[in-house]
Amino acid sequence: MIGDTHRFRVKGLFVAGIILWAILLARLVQVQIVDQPTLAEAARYNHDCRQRIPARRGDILDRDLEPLARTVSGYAVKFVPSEAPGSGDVLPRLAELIRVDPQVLWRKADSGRPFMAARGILIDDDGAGVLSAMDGVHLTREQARVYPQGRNGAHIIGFVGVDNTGLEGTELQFESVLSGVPGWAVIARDGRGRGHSLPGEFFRPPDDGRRIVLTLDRDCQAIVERELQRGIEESGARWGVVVVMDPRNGDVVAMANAPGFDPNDPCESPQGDRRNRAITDFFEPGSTFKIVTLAAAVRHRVVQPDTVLNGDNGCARFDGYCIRDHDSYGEITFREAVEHSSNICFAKVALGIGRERLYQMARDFGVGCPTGIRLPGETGGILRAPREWSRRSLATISIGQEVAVSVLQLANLVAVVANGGTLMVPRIALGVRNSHGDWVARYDPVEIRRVLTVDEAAQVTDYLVGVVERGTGYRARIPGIPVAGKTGTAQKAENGAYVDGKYIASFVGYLPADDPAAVIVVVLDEPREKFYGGEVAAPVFRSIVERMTTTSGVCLGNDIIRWRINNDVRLASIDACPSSNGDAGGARH
Amino acid sequence: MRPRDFDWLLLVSVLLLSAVGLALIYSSTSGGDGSVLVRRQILWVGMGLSALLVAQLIPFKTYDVLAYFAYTAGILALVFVLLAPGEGGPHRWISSGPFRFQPSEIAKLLVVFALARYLAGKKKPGGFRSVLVPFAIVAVPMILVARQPDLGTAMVFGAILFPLLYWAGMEPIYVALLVTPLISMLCATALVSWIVFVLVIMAILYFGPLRAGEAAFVLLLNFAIGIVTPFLWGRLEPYQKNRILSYVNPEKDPLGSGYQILQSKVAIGSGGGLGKGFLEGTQKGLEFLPARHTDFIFSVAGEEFGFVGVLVILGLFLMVIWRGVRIAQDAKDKFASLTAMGITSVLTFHVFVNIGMTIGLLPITGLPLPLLSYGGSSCLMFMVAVGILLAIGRSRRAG
Repeated sequence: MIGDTHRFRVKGLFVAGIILWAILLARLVQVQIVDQPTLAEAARYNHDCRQRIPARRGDILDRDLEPLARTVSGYAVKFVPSEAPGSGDVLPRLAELIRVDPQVLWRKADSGRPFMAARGILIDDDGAGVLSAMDGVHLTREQARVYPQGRNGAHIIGFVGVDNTGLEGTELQFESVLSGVPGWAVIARDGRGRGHSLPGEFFRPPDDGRRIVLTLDRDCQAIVERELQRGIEESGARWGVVVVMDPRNGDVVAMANAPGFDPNDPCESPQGDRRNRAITDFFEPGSTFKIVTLAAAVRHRVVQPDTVLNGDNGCARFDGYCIRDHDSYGEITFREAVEHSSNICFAKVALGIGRERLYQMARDFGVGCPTGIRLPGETGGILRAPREWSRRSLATISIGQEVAVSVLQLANLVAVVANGGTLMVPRIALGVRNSHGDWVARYDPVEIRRVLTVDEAAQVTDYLVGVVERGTGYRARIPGIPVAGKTGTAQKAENGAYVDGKYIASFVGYLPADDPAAVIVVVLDEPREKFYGGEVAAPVFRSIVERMTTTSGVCLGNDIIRWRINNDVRLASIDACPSSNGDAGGARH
Repeated sequence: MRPRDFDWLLLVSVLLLSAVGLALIYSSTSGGDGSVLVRRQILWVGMGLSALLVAQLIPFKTYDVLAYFAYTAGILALVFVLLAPGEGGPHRWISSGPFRFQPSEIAKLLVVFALARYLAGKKKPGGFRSVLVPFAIVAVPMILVARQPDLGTAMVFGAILFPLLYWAGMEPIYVALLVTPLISMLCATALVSWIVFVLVIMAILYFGPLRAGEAAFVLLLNFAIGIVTPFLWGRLEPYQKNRILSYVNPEKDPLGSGYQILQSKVAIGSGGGLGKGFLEGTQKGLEFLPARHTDFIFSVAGEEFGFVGVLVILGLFLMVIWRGVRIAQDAKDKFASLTAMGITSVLTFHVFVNIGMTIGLLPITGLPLPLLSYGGSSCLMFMVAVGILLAIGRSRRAG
């Protein structure tokens, strides 16, 4: 070919080539040398990721450190009916392997939707292999929250959501303590999001959650749940609540709501049943509130036990409003008025106490204020200030109307009388322990205020012992143990008017009356046929106490046994030396 | 055959590039189904080297004689591929057992032969009328391949035409003006750039040697394209624009066009000066890089071998291109010279467009990196092409 032309054209190509290569090289210098630090950072950002290592959620323990809620490393077993066309073969086998009632599985599988057959089940690797090989069965390793007590104490313990965070009860209230702090590990992540561990990379172990020790007594709770359930069945009530407190320190030893739910499967129960009515709901207490009026009468010396009052034969008008008694009483002493729960006599006594002093006493007892228990969703009840009262409010409030309390508030104000006059914060948690069993924090009993003197409290107790011995609360009598108590039968108000035939029956009581170890409040909503608190609630109180004193290992039972022994010793010593007042008295003879 | 007539430099460069390619394919697929792909590619390289040896043994005259016939056969193969039932995707392959073959790859060589044959038979192309047949030779396979659709490969045919016209002796000014309508189309997306570009053309036409008619034709063509392009583009619905954009790049871009380029830049950039070391790349190892053993194999090279390694690869390619140009320069006849230049052009275009894509200079087109990317058709085509270059080089003094 023509050499000259080509030499010229080769030069042209040479220039073109230089330009092309220069462009590439310039860009490569920019990308690989100039931008190298930022792009290397981008590469790290691409693949380095902190993988969360979940912290183990702390257990919830009862006061004897028995587990109420536990975190187990187990498997979640999911069943997808659509993936197992012949689920008839699979389900019985599955039920056997995961120890679940086959009927339950059948019922859930009928819907055709995938469902959790079991969570946190503990199986070995072989069992897991067998399970995962089954049609429609999917296994995932997970931290599982299990509640070994089932429905017992469910409302206090609460439950967690699918992400293992607390949604109700203690699980919610102590979330930050229980959850712990997750750790992390830097791992390499590939373009499809899969993790690859990189050796020698950073790692921080998770800080496991702490354990909450509740004031609850597992055995006591079980008794209360069972007796409450029985009480509801026998009375036909819609729902019922029982609170058992230790008046000496405010400990909530048991708190039961029925109907309840199983925290292992909370969604199976309607939302209303998952509510802890004992603290979230308030109601007009009725006659049990007379304890406040009684305390005010004692403190301000308005009446003496033998003061004679006129029962007006069952109907008296206060500012045009008729207050009735369930029986007609004529001239009765104040002690008899308390024992028979005469509304008329209490209203008359209230007139002597006066608005401000009754209001003040109610406030001192904590009415209208949340008790401060460490549980979510507590109500404060209703107590209006005297300036908002109508002219008949003094009379009606004195008998527990126009005022509302939660069951816990009621228990707490009874505890004031029981413990000798001190209002305390109901205690639900004893403290926090770490995984080694050391106490991280202790929640000491908190006294709010002294409401009554020891003497005033003793006087009130004296009246209340009479209620059980001779009055409306006779069904709560326990042989050999002095019991103080008060019945309540409150007509339910709907749309601003009282409704006939709908009552809240209640009984509050504590024992032993001279050295109380337990306050027990029983509230039943809308019992059928029999509706007086003395008729339906007091028997529940008594059967709870009977079960506790006959079951070994229950804290209240131990208290009562101790009391009995002390009492026998005292009685014995009195018998031995009638004129002495103690062990050293003999020297005077 | 005397040893000193054989272009050892070219062969050694090609062998080195193939070895680097196999190493990179091994690295980029390690951990996955890598060994299968590497073994398959080794087979392809082996077949390619055999084809290379055969191609350089065939008397070069044969290519001259068969040029048009082969071109026709190639066009028929492209038509066949287009009509054959696709497997849901683009119509690109002819399947035979486990191996699939892309006729569009070998069509690149056939177009080079046909163009060289035509241009060799003419005096040097002068005015615009003389380029009609070369345009047609290129346009037919270009349209067929674009219909597959594979716009990247279609562009390669255009990339053959202009260097060959230049090499055949066409005035540089004409070649430049032939390219202007294409640039006009791209510039028309922004008014300012288009106005500047038209002003430059007008200046060239005013001072250039073109006759008035030719100048007016060029100017009119540019004006027409400049006005019609934004008008047509603006008439399109957004989904249609996206459809066209994905037509340009049909299957390589499942996660958004920015993703691949960004990850590729991150890979190359994070390699830095000396690279992360063989098999140590995190971008490729952790599968951030899509198509890392095929179109984006250069990114793996950049990440693992760094700037130094990339310079070596670019140097090897430059060596191949330089030898190609020297062979074209020293070829004994015009057909051989044009063929060598055509082959060199195809290779250069591939290298520039592919590397430009991986470093974010050019849009993603899906052109493989010659001799490095995984892929049988491409490997075979470039090996045969190098064989032909060697044959031309061997015969340069014999004639």
